[in-house]
Amino acid sequence: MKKANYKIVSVSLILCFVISLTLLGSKVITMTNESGQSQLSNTVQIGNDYEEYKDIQTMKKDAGMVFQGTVLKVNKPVKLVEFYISNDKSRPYYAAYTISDIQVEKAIKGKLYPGDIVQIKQLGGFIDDTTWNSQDEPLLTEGTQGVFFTDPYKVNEEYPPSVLMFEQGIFKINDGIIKPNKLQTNLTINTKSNESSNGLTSVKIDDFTSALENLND
Amino acid sequence: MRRQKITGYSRLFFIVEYMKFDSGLTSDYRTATSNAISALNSKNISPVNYYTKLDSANNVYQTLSLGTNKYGQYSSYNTGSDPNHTATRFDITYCKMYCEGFNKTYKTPQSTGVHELGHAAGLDDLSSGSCIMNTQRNRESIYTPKTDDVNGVNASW
Repeated sequence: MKKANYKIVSVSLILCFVISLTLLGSKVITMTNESGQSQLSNTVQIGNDYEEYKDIQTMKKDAGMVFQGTVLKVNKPVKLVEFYISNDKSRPYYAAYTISDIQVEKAIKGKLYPGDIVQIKQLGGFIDDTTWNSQDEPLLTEGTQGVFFTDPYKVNEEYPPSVLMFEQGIFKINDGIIKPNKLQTNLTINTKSNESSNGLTSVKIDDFTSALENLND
Repeated sequence: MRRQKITGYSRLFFIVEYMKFDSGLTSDYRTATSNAISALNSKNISPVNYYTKLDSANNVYQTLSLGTNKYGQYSSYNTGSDPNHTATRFDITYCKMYCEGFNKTYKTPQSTGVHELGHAAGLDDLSSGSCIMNTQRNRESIYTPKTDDVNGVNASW
């Protein structure tokens, strides 16, 4: 009899605990920082409804700048205006951006020259105890080589440009070869080492930039 | 169907997602969002239900542009170490530059509204398939949740 009572009490306690958790609706887990202090981890996740490009010619036409370069420095994140609510300049909507300095090695579109440093901004980074994360745009790292397409749209002319269409606008180079990412495999372009019109496959960087230069802006 | 995040206010076994229209939201985007809410609620996406409420912390905005080829944005604010399951609030923003224009009707912003609310229900973007979460969909023909979307939400709860 006593055993049965203990069982009922135990089951009731477990049930109460589970229901309390459900009612709370969210679980908050504390983390410990380097100084040993307990802190909450805040995250802002950003996702977009967007339309990928189908061909590189349109990408080049839409891009503000196209160039081959190397990421020299990834700067500390800053808060910038992402947009103005209802286009009202008194109602800015802020987001964290990470700005990278990229040294130009070959200019394909835009008033650029080899050796120039171009800054581009990407949504994301850690600032004010909050991690901002764009699901569509992994942040660049120092030393990354690639061909970069920039978005001509700017909410503020003083800001660096964003990348055109997230990671579709960065063709990363490894050992002289461009291996397309998931957003780039459907793009069509004809180069010496990529004659297929079914989509982009691995291609030599020189062939890729030559083909880009031959496309009309 | 990839699952993304779970937001909202839990009431035992169902979730209520409240949101409010920003004061600057024009009537066409209010209608698009109301249609998107009706489309989602009518699909028996258990246990998620959407409503508008004047004092909600979740906002629906519009702006001129978010960048080239971008129709809308979903931003979720999370507290806790597990950002996929601890959203405290969210914002949805329509981009007028791409939601409006040649050959586009009310269906395009509605499609974007349903897509962004799909994020709030826990769905991630897809790049193929006849579903609202496919970013490459024809927004004039896909503007309500499809079977894949419904299955995705139900599977995530």
